[in-house]
Amino acid sequence: MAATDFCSIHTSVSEGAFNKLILNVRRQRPSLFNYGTAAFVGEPELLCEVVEVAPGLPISQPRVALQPLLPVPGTGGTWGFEYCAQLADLRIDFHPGSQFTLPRELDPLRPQQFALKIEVCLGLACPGKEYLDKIAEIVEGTVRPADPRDTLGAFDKFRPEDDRPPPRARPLPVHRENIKCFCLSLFATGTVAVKDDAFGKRLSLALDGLELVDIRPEGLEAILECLIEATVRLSLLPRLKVAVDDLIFGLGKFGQLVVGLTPTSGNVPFNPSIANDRVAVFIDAVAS
Amino acid sequence: MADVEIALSESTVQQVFRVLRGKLREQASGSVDLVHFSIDWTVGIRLEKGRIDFQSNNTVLLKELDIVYDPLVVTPGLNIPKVCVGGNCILPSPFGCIIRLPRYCFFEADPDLKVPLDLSGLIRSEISGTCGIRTEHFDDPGNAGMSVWQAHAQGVPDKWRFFLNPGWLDIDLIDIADTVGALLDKLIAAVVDTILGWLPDWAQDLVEAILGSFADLIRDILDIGDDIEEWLSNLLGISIGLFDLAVQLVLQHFAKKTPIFELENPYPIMPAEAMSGGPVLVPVLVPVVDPKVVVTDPELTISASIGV
Repeated sequence: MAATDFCSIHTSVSEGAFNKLILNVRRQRPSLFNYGTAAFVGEPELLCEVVEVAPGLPISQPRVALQPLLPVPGTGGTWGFEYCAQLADLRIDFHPGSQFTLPRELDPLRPQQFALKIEVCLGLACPGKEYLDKIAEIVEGTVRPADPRDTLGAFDKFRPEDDRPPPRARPLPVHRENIKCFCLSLFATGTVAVKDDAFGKRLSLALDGLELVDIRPEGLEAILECLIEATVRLSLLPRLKVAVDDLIFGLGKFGQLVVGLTPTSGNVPFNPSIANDRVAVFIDAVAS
Repeated sequence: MADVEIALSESTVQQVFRVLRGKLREQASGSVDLVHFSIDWTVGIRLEKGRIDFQSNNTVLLKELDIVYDPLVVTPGLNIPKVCVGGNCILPSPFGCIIRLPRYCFFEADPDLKVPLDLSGLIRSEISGTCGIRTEHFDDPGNAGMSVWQAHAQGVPDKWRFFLNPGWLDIDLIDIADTVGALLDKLIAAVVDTILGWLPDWAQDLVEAILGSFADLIRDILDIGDDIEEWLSNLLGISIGLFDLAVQLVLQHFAKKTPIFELENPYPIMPAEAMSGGPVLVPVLVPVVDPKVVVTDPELTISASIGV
């Protein structure tokens, strides 16, 4: 059977194409996938996950995008943690599932569904106890003891030091053995559909399921999943619609080619269609 | 299976072909003046008939596309040098000529003689042939020792090149069958209009239809030889006839050297990006693997895979 038996133009793209595109971007623009403070920018090998780059990528290319320190709460911004965040894995899988194993809550992938796997790793450079003791001594030397008189007159007393700019944060020391890392895996399943709403025909994504893996306690996992799902459904997906009205391509002085999605029918039950590890689009074209 | 595939149905390509064929019209006119001889000409072309067929041997067949020369008006002119007779004085006097013979000049116009020759729609050429598309990887010697990003920045990246691959060709500079057929059609129309003009309309239509089918029969009979030649060419994959073979070889020579389309490899999907106070980020280049254009009976498929 020919791909164009029931349409004028048939396009199909494999899941491998999407994943290889992502891999190419990750290996040539690692700073889009890896974020960290100065210590991690200077020494990317401190990151939680190894950064894989394309062979021959110039050494001048940043492996990690620079981020400000994470302030230690209550220090008035004078001390900050070094940390890193990495998008360690981002892959797509079209039905039938073959690229990764889904958690049991989402398994198996149903016909016409796609799955996404997103793995995020976070690392925090935790200073050792002895360093923390030394820094605590320094901090203690800069903090005035509480004076009840100050407290009572706090609202009408002029305190010129409040107008000074906040001091520049100093990083807490980084020791390789004290970098604490964890990774979170997020899986999502969804479908692609054409919807006809007030704005006309739109190609839109629908979220069918979402699962964070192995977070304890279970209540925390449920809250995080609820938060992410609500954000995706209410904020992201409504903006991810693509107009699929008929497109008109000029053929110079000779005429025009009107291109639109093939209507679904018995022969084309889904358009776009997700099957056999590919997404396919059936298109009708009329020249006039 | 390739990562990305785009298939075009034969019927879609045929439809686009019909639209282009119906709307392609070019016309030019001019004149040449060679003192005693001149030619004014108006020539236009339009396309008729013909069809596109996808073949299972990875070629596209263009069958019997007619080039109709319409208008085709040639007006040769002859400019004869002016000749004057008479004007001699037959009764001279000291004060001048009293009586002269009358003077007559001939061939004073420019040109003196014009014979408009209107062949509009009568002369036709016919083209048939096959063509495929071949891809070839071009390793640019200018980027030796460079990284892919340097080669991209210097404008000397490797490329995938797509070439037309002409097969056999059959060009009838004057398509005898259709030219005779067009003459017969004109003749039949003239006969019906003038000699049988007194008949009622339905009778005129009937006569025209009967005679028209006779003209079609003549056309088909005259075209048998050409049809056999085209069938044989398509079967053997070579042009038959010295002229056709020569044109095929010339086309193949130029087609081999001139790609119709080039695709940078690796292909840039994200441009270089300047960072404030930092280095310029290199463009993201994606290797294109094994791009192909494959023709089968029902469709033409363009495919390629993506490398890492």
